[in-house]
Amino acid sequence: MTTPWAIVWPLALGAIAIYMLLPRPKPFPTLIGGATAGAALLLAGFLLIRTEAISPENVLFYCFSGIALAAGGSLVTQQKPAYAALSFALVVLSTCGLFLLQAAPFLMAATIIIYAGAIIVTFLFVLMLSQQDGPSDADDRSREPLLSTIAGFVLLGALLYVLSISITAPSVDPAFAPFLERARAAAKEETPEQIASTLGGTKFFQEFEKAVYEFRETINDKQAAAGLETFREQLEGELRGDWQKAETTREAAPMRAALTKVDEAAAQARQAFAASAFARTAQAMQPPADTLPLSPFSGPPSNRPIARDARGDAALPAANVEALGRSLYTDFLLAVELGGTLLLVATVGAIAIATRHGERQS
Amino acid sequence: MTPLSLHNYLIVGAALFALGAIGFLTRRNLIIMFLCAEMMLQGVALNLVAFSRSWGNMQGQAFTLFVVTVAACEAAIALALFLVLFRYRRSLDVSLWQDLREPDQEATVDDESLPEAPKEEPMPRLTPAGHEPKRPQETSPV
Repeated sequence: MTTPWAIVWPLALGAIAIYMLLPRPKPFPTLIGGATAGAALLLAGFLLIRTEAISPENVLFYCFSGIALAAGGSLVTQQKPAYAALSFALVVLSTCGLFLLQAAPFLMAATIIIYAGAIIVTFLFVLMLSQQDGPSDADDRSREPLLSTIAGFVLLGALLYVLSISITAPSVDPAFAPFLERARAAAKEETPEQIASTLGGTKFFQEFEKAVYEFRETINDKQAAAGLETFREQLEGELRGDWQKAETTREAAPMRAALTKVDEAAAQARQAFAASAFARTAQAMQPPADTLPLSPFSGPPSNRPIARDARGDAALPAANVEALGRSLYTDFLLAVELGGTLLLVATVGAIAIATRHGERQS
Repeated sequence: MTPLSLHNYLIVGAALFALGAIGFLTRRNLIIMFLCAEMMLQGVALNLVAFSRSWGNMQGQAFTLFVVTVAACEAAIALALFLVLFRYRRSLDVSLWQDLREPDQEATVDDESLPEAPKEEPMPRLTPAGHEPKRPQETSPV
C-alpha cells in the first residue's frame, strides 16, 4: 500500500455494493450489486493485502478470507433467514480455516463444534418462528440502509487507516545499515585503491540511493517521506560528486572525508525520520519496559526480545492444547471460574425468560 | 521488520467486524441481527488469534476461548428473548417494538408497500372423460 488513498477505492465499491444488495421493497438488480461486490473484494485483495511470494499459505489465506468476506456480505444482505444461517455457517468455517493458518488448531476445532450446535439451533428457530409465505416487513425492508452502510464503511476505513500508519516498518536502520557498514569498512582501509574497491566506487551511491527510494515507497506519510527524499537527492548529487572529486585525487584523506560526509548525512536523515509524527506513532507500539515482572506461563512475555521469522511471526509451541491449558489454568484461572459462572447464570436466565408464566402454576 | 501476516489478518478481522455492524444496524429480522452480532465476534476472535501468533504468546488464544464462552451465553439469552418477543407480536420484525424508543425520536413509517406475493397457480385438474358406469343397486338380503 503506497498511499492511504488506496483504502478508499475498495471501500467505496464495497459500500455501493452493500447498499444496492440490502433488502428493500423495490430491489436493485442483484447481478449489478453482486458484480460490484466481487470487484470490491478483488480490488481489496490487490491493494490492501500485502504478500510477497505465492506460497500455499498465502493461497489458502486468500481463499479463506475471500470466502469469509463474501459469505459475510451475503449474510448481511440475504432476505431468507435460512440462507442467512447457511452464510453464517460459511463465515464460521472459513474463519476456522484462518485460525488453523494462525497455528490455533484447538480453537479451530472448538469453534466448529460450538458453532455447529449454535447454527442448528438457529435453524430450528428459523423453522419455528419465521415460516411465512410471501414478503414480510422483517425480511424485505431495511432500516436506514444508506446511513448504516456509510457508518459501517467509515468505521472500516478508520480502522484500516490506523492499521496502515501504525504497523508499517518504522525504522530506517534495516535499509541503511548494510551501506553504512560498507562505507565505514572502506574508510578504515589503507590505500586509496583498497578504499575504492571495498566501497565499490560510484555504484555504491547508486545502490544506496535505490535502497532509500524503495524504503521511501513503503512509507505513507508525507513529512517522513520528504526527509528521506532530501537524503536521496543528496546521495544522487552532492555526496556522489564529492566522492568522484576525491577519487580523482587518488589520495586516501579526501576519500575518507567524503565517506564521513555520507555517514553524517545518513545520521541526519535518520534523526529527521525518527522525529516525524509517523515514526512517533509507530514508537507507541513498542512493548512495555523489561523491568515489569510479566507471567511466563502463556509464552515469552512481551517485554522480552522475540525471534520473528520473515513473515513477522514468532514461534508458537507445537503442543497447542497443552500450551493453551497451561495458560488457562495459571494466568487465567479466575477468568475460567468466572466464565463457568457466567454460563450457569445464562442458562438459568434463559430458562427463566422463556418459561410461560401462566403455565408455571399448573 | 514488516509483520506481513499480522497486517493481513487484522484487515480481514476489521472487515468482518464492519460487515457485522452494518447488518446489525440495518436488518429488521431478530435472527439475522443475532447472526450479524456473532459475525462481529468472529472478527474480534480473528484479531486476537493473529496477535497471539505474532507475539508467540497464548494469551490471545485464551482470550478467544472466553469470547466464544460469552458468545454462547449471549446466544442462549438472545434466543430465549426472541421466543418471548415472538409470542407477543407473532413476528420477528424488530420495528414492531419501536414504541420502546426514546420519547423525542420519530417513529419509523414504512412508505413503500411490499411487492405482492406471486399467486400460486391452482393444481391442474383432469377433465372428466367417458361416463360413470351405472352400478346395479345393492340390495340387502335381510
